[in-house]
Amino acid sequence: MMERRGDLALAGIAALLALGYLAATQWIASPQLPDPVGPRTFPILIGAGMLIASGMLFLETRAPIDDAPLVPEAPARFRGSVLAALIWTVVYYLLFEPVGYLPATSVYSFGLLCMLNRGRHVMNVGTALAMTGVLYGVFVHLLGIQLPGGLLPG
Amino acid sequence: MESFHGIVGGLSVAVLPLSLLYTFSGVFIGTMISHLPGIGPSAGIALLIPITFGMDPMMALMMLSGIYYGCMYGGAVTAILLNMPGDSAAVMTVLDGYPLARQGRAGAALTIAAVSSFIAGMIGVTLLVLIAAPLARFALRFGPAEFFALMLFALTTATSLSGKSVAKGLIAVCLGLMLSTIGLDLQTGVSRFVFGIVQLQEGISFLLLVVGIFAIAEGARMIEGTLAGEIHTVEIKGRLWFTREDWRAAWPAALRGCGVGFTCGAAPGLGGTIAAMMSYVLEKRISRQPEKFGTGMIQGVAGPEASVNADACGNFAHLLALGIPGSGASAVLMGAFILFGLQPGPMLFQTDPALVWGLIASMYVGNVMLLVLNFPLVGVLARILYIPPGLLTVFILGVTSAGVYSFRTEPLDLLIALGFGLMGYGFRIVDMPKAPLIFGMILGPRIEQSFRQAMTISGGDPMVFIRSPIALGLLLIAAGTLAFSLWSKRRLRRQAGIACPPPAGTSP
Repeated sequence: MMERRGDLALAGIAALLALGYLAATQWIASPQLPDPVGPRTFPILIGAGMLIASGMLFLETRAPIDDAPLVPEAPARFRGSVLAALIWTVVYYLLFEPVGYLPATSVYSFGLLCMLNRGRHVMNVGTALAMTGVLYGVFVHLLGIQLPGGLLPG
Repeated sequence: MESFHGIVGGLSVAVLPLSLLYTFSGVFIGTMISHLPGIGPSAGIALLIPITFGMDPMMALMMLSGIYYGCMYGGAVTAILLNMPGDSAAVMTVLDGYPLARQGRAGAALTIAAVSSFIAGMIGVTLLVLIAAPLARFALRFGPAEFFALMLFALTTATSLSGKSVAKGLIAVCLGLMLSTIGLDLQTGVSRFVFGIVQLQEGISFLLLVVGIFAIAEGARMIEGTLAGEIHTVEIKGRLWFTREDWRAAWPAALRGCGVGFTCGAAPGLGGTIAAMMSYVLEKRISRQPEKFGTGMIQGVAGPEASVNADACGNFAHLLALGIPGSGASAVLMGAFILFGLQPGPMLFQTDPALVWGLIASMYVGNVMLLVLNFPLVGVLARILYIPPGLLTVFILGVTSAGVYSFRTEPLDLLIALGFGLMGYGFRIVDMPKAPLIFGMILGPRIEQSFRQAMTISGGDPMVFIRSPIALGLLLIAAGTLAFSLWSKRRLRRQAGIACPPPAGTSP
């Protein structure tokens, strides 16, 4: 039943996305060029395809199915933790440039390690610092890729 | 003759010290990645693409290709030792590999998997050498209408054969095509779907999509798995060798698997999982003891493992000769080609033969390296399983973030990749296949270009797509594949419904 509800929701989202996409094609300018198709036709075909696909999925949800869960249920209990990690990652990405790679990544890694490797704070601090340092060394010194310095001098 | 000269020239490049170093790096990283449950070649390549910026394209592609076939080689390790396939293609290896390990014969299963992979790899690359150039020559006859039909065929196959639902595959492919239309229209210079965001004018980078949908989504899955205690380390037991009887049973299975795998690989969109399934079914059918399959039959390891590796070689045939990816991983690899300014396809054999043949030749070298890595060293390398999964998760997210930022030093890219990561996580929850999305994104610009070119040539007459026999044939096969897939999946669902009737009181 869960799968069926998920599929129905997916069909609805896909249909809305298709309609939004099709509506947005109206804002595409059509220049007067010797192109019988223009920049709008292909997106319209894709939008129509998405609409048809959402309809097909809706019809599939009406067919009898095996209700055995496709994804193991156990990890579903931890979706809250994934949400927390997601928010933590958004904060990290927003501070990535202003704070700098080294401090931001060290704190971010420590936070994630605290979630995944509970109670081992000393080990987590050491691991976060070492891993950030190694990655910084590989990217900046070995591969010559620039990472933001941020708050750190130099 | 052209192939012979090409591969000889390619070998002279592939054995240069720098080429050897990059090929080794690729197969080594691929082997390591394959030992991490759930992280497949697509995520592995996606994770490493940013690191290759600034490298010589040939060296970078040798490394990334090495990751691809290295992953295919090593996927058996976790399947045999953990009862968990390293990637989806190794799913059939679990059936007999894990029972063998439980019988204390993990060593035999691992080494047979390695040797079968080696045989399939060497034969597969030789077949690739033989068919790639003629296929590319044939494809030179293709005009826009034929290319449009070919790409539509590839999209249809990927849609029809991945996942349990054709509709979900279609949604994924349409989503990929939608993403590919964001940015400036290359033929008219008109902006499409940018909504005033200047950074979107160049379009959404393929890199952000693959890093998000594979690497970041994988990070999310690992967070769940770690907290649920599903990912844990195991001890390797048993002698790392196989008996004469094992070998006698395994080598014919490996050869058959090679044939099945290369054929599947040469058909766009089938993928290694289907190759492995077909090989397993074949071995079971022709066996005198089919009832013993699933209890630790060595043929059940040798056949699927060989087929998976030969499938990867088959994928390279149409990736290089036609510019059509054969699986999610080869689509990611094709994205890497494009990021380096190279368009895989028949013209690549004309414009950059050294790169094509150097890359193919490096696969011979890589296969030998993989045999060494997966045979005597498998016990050592499999120790990566002992690394705490929490640390691996943080490492993956750390590499991903630095890699994405370094692409354009644009902080918005990090958030876009994270958005795609969330999408990839959602795909897993609703059991939506990722490969069609990648196919749509990577083939989108080319399919639109071919469509518009064909329509321009014909003066807007859509009959141009059925006037060419090649295009018509491909379109008919595409329609047939889609229809067959719809019919067979509907039948499967009905059977499942009969086996598991809905509870009383619910409408059918």
